[in-house]
Amino acid sequence: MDLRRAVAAVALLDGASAADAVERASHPMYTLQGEGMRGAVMAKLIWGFSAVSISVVVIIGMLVLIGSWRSLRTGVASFEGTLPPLSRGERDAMPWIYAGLIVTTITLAVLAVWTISSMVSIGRPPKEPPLTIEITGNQWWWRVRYEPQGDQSRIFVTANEIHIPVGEPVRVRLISNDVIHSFWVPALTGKTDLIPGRINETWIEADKPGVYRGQCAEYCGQQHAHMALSVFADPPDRFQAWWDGQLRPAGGRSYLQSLR
Amino acid sequence: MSVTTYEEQPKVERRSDRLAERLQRIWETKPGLYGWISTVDHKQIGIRYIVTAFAFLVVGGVEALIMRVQLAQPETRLVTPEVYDQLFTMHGITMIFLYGLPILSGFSNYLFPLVLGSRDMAFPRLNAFSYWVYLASGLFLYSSFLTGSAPNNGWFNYPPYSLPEFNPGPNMDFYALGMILLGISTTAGAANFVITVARTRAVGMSLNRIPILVWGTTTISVGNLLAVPAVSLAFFLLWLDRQFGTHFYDASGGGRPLLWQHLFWMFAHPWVYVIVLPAMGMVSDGLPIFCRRPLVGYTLVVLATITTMVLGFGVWVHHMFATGLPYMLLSVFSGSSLIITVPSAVAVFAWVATILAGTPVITTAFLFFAAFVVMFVVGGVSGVMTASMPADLQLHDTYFVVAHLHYVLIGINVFGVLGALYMWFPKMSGRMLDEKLGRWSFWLIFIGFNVAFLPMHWTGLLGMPRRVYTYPIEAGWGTVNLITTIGTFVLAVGFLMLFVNVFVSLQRGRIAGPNPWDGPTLEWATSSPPPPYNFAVLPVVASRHPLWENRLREGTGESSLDRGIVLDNGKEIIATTAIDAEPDLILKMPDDDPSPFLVTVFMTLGFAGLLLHWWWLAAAGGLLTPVGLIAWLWPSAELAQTAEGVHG
Repeated sequence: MDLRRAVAAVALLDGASAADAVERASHPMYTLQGEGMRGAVMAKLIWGFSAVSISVVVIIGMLVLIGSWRSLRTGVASFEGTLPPLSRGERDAMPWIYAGLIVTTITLAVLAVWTISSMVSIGRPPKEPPLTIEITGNQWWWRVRYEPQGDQSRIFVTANEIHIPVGEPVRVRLISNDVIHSFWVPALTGKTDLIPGRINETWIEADKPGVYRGQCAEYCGQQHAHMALSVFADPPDRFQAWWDGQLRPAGGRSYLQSLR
Repeated sequence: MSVTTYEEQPKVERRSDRLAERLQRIWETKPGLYGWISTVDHKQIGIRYIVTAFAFLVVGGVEALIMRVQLAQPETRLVTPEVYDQLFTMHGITMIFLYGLPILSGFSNYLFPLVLGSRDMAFPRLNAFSYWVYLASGLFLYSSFLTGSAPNNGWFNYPPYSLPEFNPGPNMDFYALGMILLGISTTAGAANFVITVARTRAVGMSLNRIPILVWGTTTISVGNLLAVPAVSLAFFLLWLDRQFGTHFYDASGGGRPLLWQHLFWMFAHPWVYVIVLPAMGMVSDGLPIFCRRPLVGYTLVVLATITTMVLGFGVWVHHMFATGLPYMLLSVFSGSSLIITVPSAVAVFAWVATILAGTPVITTAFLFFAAFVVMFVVGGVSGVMTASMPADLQLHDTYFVVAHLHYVLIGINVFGVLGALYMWFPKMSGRMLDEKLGRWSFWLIFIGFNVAFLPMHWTGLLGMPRRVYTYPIEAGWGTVNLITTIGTFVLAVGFLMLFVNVFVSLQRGRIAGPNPWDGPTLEWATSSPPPPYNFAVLPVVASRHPLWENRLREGTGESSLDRGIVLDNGKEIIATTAIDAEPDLILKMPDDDPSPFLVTVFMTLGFAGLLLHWWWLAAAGGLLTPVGLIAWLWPSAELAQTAEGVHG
């Protein structure tokens, strides 16, 4: 499969930085680099939380090491049947707990505010999306139906490949035909489940052209591992051309051919 | 029985050899098969729990190793998707249900009456029953492999995939019925722990003198009594959907797949705390012994334990951030999932302060406890990351979550348990574990674990979803997966070394004596291993650390360990009041009894009948179970509660 090369080619073609393109090409499901508003907000949160998390682990790890290292040097390093005498220590140790409690609470409060404000910013698309895509989960493929506002004659259906115009929010309606699946394209958005008997909605927007890999994220049976999808984000004119092409009877040039 | 028996006033005497001999005859289990089946000795039952749970840990570990070989490289085809699905499901079920709580119940069963200064659990036969039912449910679940149809939908088992339309085999029936059976064991055990703590503590062991392990297990037992009904109901409804065509979870019949997720996580999120709080308790009790000082912040740690459990009931929706529930609801649960970190932070800083303000003695047990603290923090902060709803939409159902939950379950359960094993093995066996082998096994387990699971966070951030039996080369997940596989094998070698240590030390270990580590609590006041009656005279305690109080000058008055209440008129223990632990009643304790075992057999046969649709067998089991219960509970004059005890 040369999806990887195609991704890199498309990304480079449109002037993305080389480093991003290489990362996206070698790890198409990379979550830490958002290529659209939703993906970017989530990536930023993960980076920030990771930084806090790593600091906390390092600090606590150091304290435990220091506490143990001290006794290595005072010669009670190993247990040989003799134990140092009991003692409550010279100073009250409770301030450790109070300080820890205060720092933890403040940090968590800040993280909570950041979390809620991020939720607000990705809750609704910045403007009413002109295009709605209805995705139906099936064991083990994705049915994709395009519904423009108004014109019923331009509705059509594809499978496993989703095309969207760059720079425009697209509404995604998610339903399931059998079991629970989960729609996930890490570069563009986190997961939203497809649940039988329910209609879930989310939205995606790509900032720059490219091919973004996605995969079912909720275990759905034996071939769950192979339930992948690709999102092709095209400049609006190319997207229109692709759409027109889809509406023509079979026999025309395929999309990939038209790229070359 | 004469009237005077009911007015018996216990003597208070010094410990003597004659008394010990008499108590030995009263309390010892009969030899032979009958004794083996009918024993109600909490120490034997506790060790059975521990051995059985470790056996399941080994089986679950082997399942994990097979999966790790499959995932070491992209496009490997060692096992088929069907086999892989059964492996990851059974691995989860085994580690979470058949190892996670039972191992802690084992330690608690063994230790409760010893640290509480009593002679047995409040309900010894119920104790035997909860062990037998646990064993039966484990065998029931594993018998599914014999038919090649083990559960295959992951341990959280979402419908509709678990419904017959998509899963027609008996796989899910094994899981549904097995879990209902296990729920009976968990409930019986939980009730027993709660009553044991409330009513059978040593005289003088008021609430503020109870060891933290006991607080942990009691807290989660109350939690279990509230949480288990949700999951038993969930599985029962699933079984009805599967067998009788009801539509609780089936959207095509007007049911709701999300109903399952709510019922399941209402149970399963508290369950996460259920399988870590007692381990945290063991660390809170064990770490101070090796730091040569009392725990810093006892009261805060107890409050944190209880707060964690309470808040643990209010965070379940964070497993469902991607299900499209209303935004307002998600923000509330995201907030509560962040807040639950606060009590955990209290515990962490209490341990850190204890290490810093103490004089640590670097034993194998200390190494496991100290590593526990750091692993706890790693599992905690990754939990904070998944609590943030927008971040979780990326992290959810990826290997990041797999890494997180292994830091929780191995870091906060297994490391605590292994430290506890090194610490209490001498009490259980009378012999010390080898320290040199112990250090080797610690470092192999520590390094193997971190090599396996630290890079796994990265695997998740690279976007690898969980529960895939293979992955394509171009996904770029090959290297990290190979590292993880190598780490798991190092981890396995560490465990092997631990088991070798146990077997060798049982034969040739150094003789331990009653109190090898100079521990402060009552279990160290009796011989190693303890006699069947635990204490010849029932101790009276006057402080939190009866064996340290002279050196620390704490408490009011002095604990009395050599002189105390003598109860030798048949199997007897003292009941104390719930808050202040003042003597209240003499409890008559039951003799060894085969009925818990028989009831378990009848009940399991009934469940097997339901599984196989042999309705006659189900009916027979359903009839024999109450018959067995009647035999078990038949009133007996010897068991009538008697007179008030001494006051003062």
